[in-house]
Amino acid sequence: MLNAIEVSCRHPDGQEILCAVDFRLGRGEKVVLLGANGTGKSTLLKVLNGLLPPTTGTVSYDGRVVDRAALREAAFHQRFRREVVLLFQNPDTMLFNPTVFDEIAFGPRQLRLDGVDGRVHHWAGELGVAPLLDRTPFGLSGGEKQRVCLAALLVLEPKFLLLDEPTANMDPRSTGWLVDFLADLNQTTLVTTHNLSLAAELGDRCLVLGEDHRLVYDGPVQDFLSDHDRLAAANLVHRHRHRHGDAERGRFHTHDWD
Amino acid sequence: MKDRLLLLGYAIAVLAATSVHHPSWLAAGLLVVAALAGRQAPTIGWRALRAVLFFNLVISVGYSASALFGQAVSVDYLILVNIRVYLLIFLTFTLASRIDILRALSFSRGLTYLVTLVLSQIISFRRLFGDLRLAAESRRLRRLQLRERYLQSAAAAAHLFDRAEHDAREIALAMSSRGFFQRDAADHAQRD
Repeated sequence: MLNAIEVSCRHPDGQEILCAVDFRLGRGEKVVLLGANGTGKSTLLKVLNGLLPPTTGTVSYDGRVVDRAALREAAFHQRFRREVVLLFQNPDTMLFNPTVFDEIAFGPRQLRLDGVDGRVHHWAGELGVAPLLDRTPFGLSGGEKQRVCLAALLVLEPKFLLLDEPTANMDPRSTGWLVDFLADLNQTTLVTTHNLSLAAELGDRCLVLGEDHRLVYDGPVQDFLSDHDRLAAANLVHRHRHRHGDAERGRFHTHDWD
Repeated sequence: MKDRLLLLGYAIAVLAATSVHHPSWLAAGLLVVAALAGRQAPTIGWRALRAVLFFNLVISVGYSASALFGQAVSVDYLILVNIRVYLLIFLTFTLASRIDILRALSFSRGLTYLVTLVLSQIISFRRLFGDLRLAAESRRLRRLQLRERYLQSAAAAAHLFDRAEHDAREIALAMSSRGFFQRDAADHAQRD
């Protein structure tokens, strides 16, 4: 279980980023994290990954509080980093090896796992980047970089995958592929997006961060998507004038979700 | 007005610090700057020390090593260089904590544009740098070897450089599309 218990975060200047966010992620769950820009989605993932300490509240993993003291313990650090992985929104921040092969092998080599070559080729094949193994990661397209980053995380066989806007750099075909790929994974996934058309495909449960940085909804995705008042309150749909011939009307809607 | 005077004072102090060649005078200057920094002096002093430590170490060790090749080495000179660099950085950090640079440069529209661009880039790069650091930490499963750390740092530097180049080109294009580089438009803006 990965738990956020009353997690709050503030900038040093006092600006609120997360306010008393509380939820639990169980094994095998597919969860979508929705929220308008600036509501704290990315920060929440970094807090869950033990990278940013919450100002108040705690994150716990399998009953153990994830804080600096815990992460200083080599055994817990290694287990946590292997089992709970984070895909950053900007894939460039995650790529620092000379070739795609080295990038995917980076984790297994640190763990001195057996059969690194086989693991790398397996996950490169799964993610469709096998032809790119000799290329330098920086020369790839955004979508290819995203796949390489995913392969580099999945090769560790993690239990929890935290994905920050994984479709942001992908074209529609790659997006469709990723949605199917994530659906077939056995791991727990927590995926942030503000693309409502994908929300129902990426998870059964959804967490919604409101503009006041609080968790305003935690429940089935479909219930949330059919509640227009809640969608509008979370700033996930908008309203502007629509012209249909001579008629003109305004209603709340989104352009990426029917 | 206060900001412009501070900036002018800073320019004079920099000139003085680079013209004086006696360690004791520079040390006295350091005390004056520390007094000007007031209660912030220990914090600024520590930040300045961290900023210059690597640079000063490399210079000092390199200079001292030249003694191995028969060069005459002056301890006074070594002290002078170290104090001067520290003084300049201390002075700059002290000024940065007290001055509104945009207000200080408001006499020149061109300089104001330039500083605005630089500040916006600093903010965006600080965020990117933070993400690079966190991503590296997130993928670290054990204490990394020096070679691996170098690789990470080099990749981060290359990414920051690429990004800076790309952003500079985009900003130049955006400014160009708004007529910034047309002589008439610039003159017009200057007159406004």
